[in-house]
Amino acid sequence: MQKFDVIIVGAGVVGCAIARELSRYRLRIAVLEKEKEIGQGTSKGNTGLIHSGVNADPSTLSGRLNLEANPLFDQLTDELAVPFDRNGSLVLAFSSEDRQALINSLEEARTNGVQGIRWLNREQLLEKEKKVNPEALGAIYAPRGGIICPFEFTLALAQNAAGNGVVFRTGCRVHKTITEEGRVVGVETDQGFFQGDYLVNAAGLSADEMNCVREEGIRIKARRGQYLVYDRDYPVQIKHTLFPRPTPVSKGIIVTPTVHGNLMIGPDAEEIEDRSSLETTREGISRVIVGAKKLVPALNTSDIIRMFSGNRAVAGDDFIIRPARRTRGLILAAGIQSPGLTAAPRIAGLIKEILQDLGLNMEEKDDFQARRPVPVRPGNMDYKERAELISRDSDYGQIICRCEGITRGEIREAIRAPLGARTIDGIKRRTQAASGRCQSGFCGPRLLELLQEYAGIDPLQASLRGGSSQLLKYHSKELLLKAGEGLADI
Amino acid sequence: MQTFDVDVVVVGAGPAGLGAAIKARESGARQVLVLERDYEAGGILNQCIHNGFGLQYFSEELTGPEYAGRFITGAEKAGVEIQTDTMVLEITPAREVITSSSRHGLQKFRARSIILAMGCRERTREAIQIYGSRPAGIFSAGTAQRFTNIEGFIPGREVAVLGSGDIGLIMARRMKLEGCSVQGVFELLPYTSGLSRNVVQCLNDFSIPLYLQRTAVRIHGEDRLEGITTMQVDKKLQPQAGTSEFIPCDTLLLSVGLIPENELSRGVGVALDHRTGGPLVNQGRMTGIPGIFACGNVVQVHDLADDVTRESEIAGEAAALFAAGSPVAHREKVETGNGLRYVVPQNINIAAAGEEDLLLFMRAEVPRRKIRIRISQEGQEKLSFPLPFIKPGEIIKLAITPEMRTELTPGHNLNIEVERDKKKWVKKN
Amino acid sequence: MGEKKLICVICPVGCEISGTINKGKLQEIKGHRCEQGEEYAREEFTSPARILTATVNIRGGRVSQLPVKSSGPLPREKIEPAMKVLAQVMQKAPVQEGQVIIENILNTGKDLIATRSMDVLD
Repeated sequence: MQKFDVIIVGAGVVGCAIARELSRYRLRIAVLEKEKEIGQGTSKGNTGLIHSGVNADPSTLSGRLNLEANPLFDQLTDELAVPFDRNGSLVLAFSSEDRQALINSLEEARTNGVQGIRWLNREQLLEKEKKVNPEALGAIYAPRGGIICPFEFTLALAQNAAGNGVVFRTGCRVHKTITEEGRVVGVETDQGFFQGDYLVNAAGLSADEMNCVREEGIRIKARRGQYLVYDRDYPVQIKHTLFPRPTPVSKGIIVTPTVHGNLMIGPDAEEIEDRSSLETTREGISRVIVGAKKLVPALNTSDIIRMFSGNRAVAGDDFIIRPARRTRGLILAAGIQSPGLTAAPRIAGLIKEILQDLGLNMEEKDDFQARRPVPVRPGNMDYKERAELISRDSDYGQIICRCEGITRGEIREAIRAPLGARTIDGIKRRTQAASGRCQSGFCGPRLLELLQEYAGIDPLQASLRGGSSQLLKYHSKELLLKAGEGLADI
Repeated sequence: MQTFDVDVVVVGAGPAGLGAAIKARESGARQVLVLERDYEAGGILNQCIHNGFGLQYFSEELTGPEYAGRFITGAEKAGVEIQTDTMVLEITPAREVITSSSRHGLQKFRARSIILAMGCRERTREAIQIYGSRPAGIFSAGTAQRFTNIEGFIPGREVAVLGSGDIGLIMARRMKLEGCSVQGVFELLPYTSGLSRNVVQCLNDFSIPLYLQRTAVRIHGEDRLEGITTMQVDKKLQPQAGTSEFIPCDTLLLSVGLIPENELSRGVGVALDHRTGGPLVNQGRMTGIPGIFACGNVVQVHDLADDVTRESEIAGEAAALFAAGSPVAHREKVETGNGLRYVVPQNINIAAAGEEDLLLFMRAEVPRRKIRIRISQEGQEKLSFPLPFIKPGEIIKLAITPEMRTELTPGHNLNIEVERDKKKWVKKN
Repeated sequence: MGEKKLICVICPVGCEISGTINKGKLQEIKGHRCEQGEEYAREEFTSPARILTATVNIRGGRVSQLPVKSSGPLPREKIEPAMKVLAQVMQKAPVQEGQVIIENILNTGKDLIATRSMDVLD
């Protein structure tokens, strides 16, 4: 049996940020994740924005944490070696009503401490972003808005936490919280009992599947958002993140570049019953296209390389971050919808403060390593540097994914690194292999070989994303032999 | 980075690259180097284990590996050097080719001429926008072909095929032969995009149903594919209410078109034809950048490897001549008119075509009977070719003989279009 | 008496040819536009035959599948039974193109032969 000071349930960006924050202290920490890999829920399927806070309401928890967290990202992404670009955001006005509302919010945002924001008239807007709808009357320009790869950020937090001693368990679903006299003593899981004094629920869409969370009266609803991603060579190129004027419930359908250089549009917002469903629909995708075309009329549906859905966990209007009322030792980080990605570092800070208040002894480590090793990316090197790399490690010479130019060395490291890839999607999210225009048509067979070579996964067991998502079902001739001559098995 | 000087560098050791390389050697090029990203030469033909190759070029019926084998042997005999496991990272307009491989590290080849022969890739699910979930079990037909014919794995047991491209038809039969049940082939259009022979021998022989004007509109299944919803479409290709049918399957193969793979071409600034998806080329298959040639599926998606070979020989010879200092001069444009999707080459040189036939490849927009292909200049009809039948799935080849070329006026662009055939063979004076 | 139909694959025209069969004998062929088409239809109606192409399992080579074909056309109804036979093969590398993998498969007088060479992987 294993004993921990803090057990975190859920290895999404919130759970991993909490784990990394707590790993600064002399604590025994475990993160339990039900999926085969970390970051497989909301953290992989979202817009990837670090919001400027221009429309954040500091009287809400989510607004306050957004405002506090945005400035942290320069240092954080530097420490974690995660690509991050403050590309700046533009919130567009299309009516005089929009304009008045946005100019009002500009003043509020200044009061809230959002830096560098200013109003652009139409000419200034079109100069800044040429493909924007010329019908726009103007826009708020927020230079501190940024873009990040949400999965890589989550992974980096987790790897850094793991490097600082946090234990991660994947494929480890929590069935039940065990309490004694109203106080958490541990959890029952797929992998047995984990003893722990404090339990942090950062289980995203599944947060209310835990008995003691339901007792708090918390119900999670899934809000689905659909997205489209364009080929990198798509002729319409956009530099900033473009927003319409937000409504009370949603930031609207946006148009943004990603840190990988693709243009992405979405999301719509639709409450759905089945929270695990990640379907795209004709209606949703056309909403996204209509919404995006309002901002950038030149957009069309050619050169789309990917459609996907992401579900956000919604529990009322605001984040719920507090100690549970009925179960001592349980802390909630639930209903972390947008801007959860931005707020994650401050959510982690808040959880730390709550744990401290509850009496957990926090003693700083003197050997905490803030930096994650920088992943080797031959594609970002000049030829001289690249040639030297290959002469040291020839695996970086062999290109596996031809669309994205990803080498065997990068895939090897993605598999071997702490919290390494165990699925095709896992390799894809870590390296961008298979994310290009052929969508794994060419490199798929190679990736299965590499999963076998570096992780010992039999090709018939290798899956897209864990569960029963195996790609290949039979050996050649297996079906023929089964059907004929009474040969049941081979 | 080591640097080498080479007469002709060929990118890709599939049938196009090998054919071009052999012909370049035969046409006098001294060093011909073929760069191949896979671990062996042969390209996609290594996984095309079915027969039907070589009927036109070798006058005998070969399988894909046999057809490739002839060119691999031929390249060896001709003194062509092939470097496998080598990926081209970049081509510069100064005709430098930079490669990466684990064995040789980074290399730079300074070439007198370059032949692009990277082939094509398959369109994906995203390109045709099927809604629904994203389970395992959806493969492009070519990827499934590689798993089945080379790696030794069968993706699933109950197979549906979306799109009636040749690879899809061939894989329908292949899966059936491996003991799978094949639920059917679903084609959006009112006609198949594959060869009739494949419809007969791959589907009819095995009673695999072909559903025309019916397509997949939704994918079901969370982890693994559980089925697809198909719907009948109207003439505008819009799904018709009340026609939806659920097809249970654990595997969906997509055969919804091929796209010439021109990332390197685009990188060096070669102008592309949006109709073919390949470079604009002249009759020697030279692109808009002097000394950079292209052939095979990178130029246009061919139906037959035999045609790839013919085109590769054109490019190989022209590239060798260019390397020896005889570039092709002035050229006329070939414009694609009514009824055709494209014509290749898009530029010609009537005067410089020599004693050879000038071969024009073109693809019909829709199937039609009793038509003629009309070639005109400045609005005046110059040549006319009656054809009993054309269809998009089968490329049209017209040979413009030296004699016919005397009808054409050098310096004037050609317009090529499809017309209803009211009269018989017409030759205008 | 029965009528069979087929689409001719000799050329892109794709004629729909029908054949009248009486007591197992082909009586009449209609719908063809050329002599080759008639010949093709006659064979298809009376004794359709196909080259079988497939793969067999192989050990010791770079990959696990060796492509094979029948050395001549097999009666169409023998195609699927032949698959059951070749499914049992476990060939060993090296193999030469043209090498016989199964002799006289299903007594058809045709062999199953390798369509590529495969070396032993060191």
